[in-house]
Amino acid sequence: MNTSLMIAVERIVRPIVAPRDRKQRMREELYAHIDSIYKEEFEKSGDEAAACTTATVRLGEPEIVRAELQGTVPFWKQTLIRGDQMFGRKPKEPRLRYSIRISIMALVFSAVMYLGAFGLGILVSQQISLLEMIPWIFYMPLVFSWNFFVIAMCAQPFLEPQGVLEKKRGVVLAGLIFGASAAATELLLLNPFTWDQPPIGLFLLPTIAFIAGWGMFVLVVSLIRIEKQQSIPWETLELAD
Amino acid sequence: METPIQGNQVRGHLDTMILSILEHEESHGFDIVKRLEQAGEGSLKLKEGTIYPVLYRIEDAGLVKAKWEKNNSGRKGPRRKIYSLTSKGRKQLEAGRTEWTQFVNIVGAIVGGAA
Repeated sequence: MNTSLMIAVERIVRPIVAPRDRKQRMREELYAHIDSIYKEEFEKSGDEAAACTTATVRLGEPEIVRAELQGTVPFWKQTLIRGDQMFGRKPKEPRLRYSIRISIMALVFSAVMYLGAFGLGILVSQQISLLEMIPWIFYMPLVFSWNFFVIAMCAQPFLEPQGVLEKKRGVVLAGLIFGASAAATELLLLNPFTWDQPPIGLFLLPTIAFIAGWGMFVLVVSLIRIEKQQSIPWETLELAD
Repeated sequence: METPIQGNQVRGHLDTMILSILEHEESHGFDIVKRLEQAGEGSLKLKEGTIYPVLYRIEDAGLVKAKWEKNNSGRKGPRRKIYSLTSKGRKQLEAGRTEWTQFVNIVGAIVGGAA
């Protein structure tokens, strides 16, 4: 593929707020088009640089093409993508910092959800005491937040083109770490502070959580990775401005 | 030589023009632009990238359908999306032609040209 032509296309497509598959389609179609123009111009002039420049001009001003392409994405999809981008890793953001940011967001979000849920519970049922619920309002969001931290730390090396754990067995290994985290979470949810006798599900439920956590991690991360692999050559292109 | 017509001057009619190009034969974006320019006998100049927003819009409206070109079509180069007219698109094309005729008749009568 011709990098100069790819850059011309990526300048148009990268800022567009659209689902990943839609953006990838735009890239492929615009690239096929600009490549055809380039071949046509090169046949006429025999000058690669001139053919490249003319092809870029013939494709149209990036701002205009981009605005028109953006107009084809429904507003509700744009809103969803903007929300999703808050949870995505920013360019050049270190993995640890990203994982901490995600876990803080998960902590705040879940704390608000639990506060709301318990508040509603107290309004509906007079038997629920706020004092009893306070440990849970802190405890559950912390567990939730920890799991998001583990997911972000384990998943990132596979979703990006670098990293020592890029291989398939790395995904399996990271899945095991997440499975262990899910099992530990399950144990905490069984509330060991109140055990007089170990409940029946003490080993069964964490084992199920471990297997389910591992399987889900490997499946989801692999699917995301397959989808990302198509767009990685484009997303990693350095645009001059 | 006639002054070329730019793409933004035909913006409101580009959908119908593309449907008309696809009426008899399926085609990909680059070919659609070529055929539009040929039909315009050199007087129509489009910024070629702007054809795709129109294609996406009419595809979303169900007027055309698109499929990826098969890899074994014998051509070297990146794969392309092939567009073809749907039955809804054919109906829209007929409606577009009627609207165009009315437009030419009315505007032609006002500005003094022959319809």
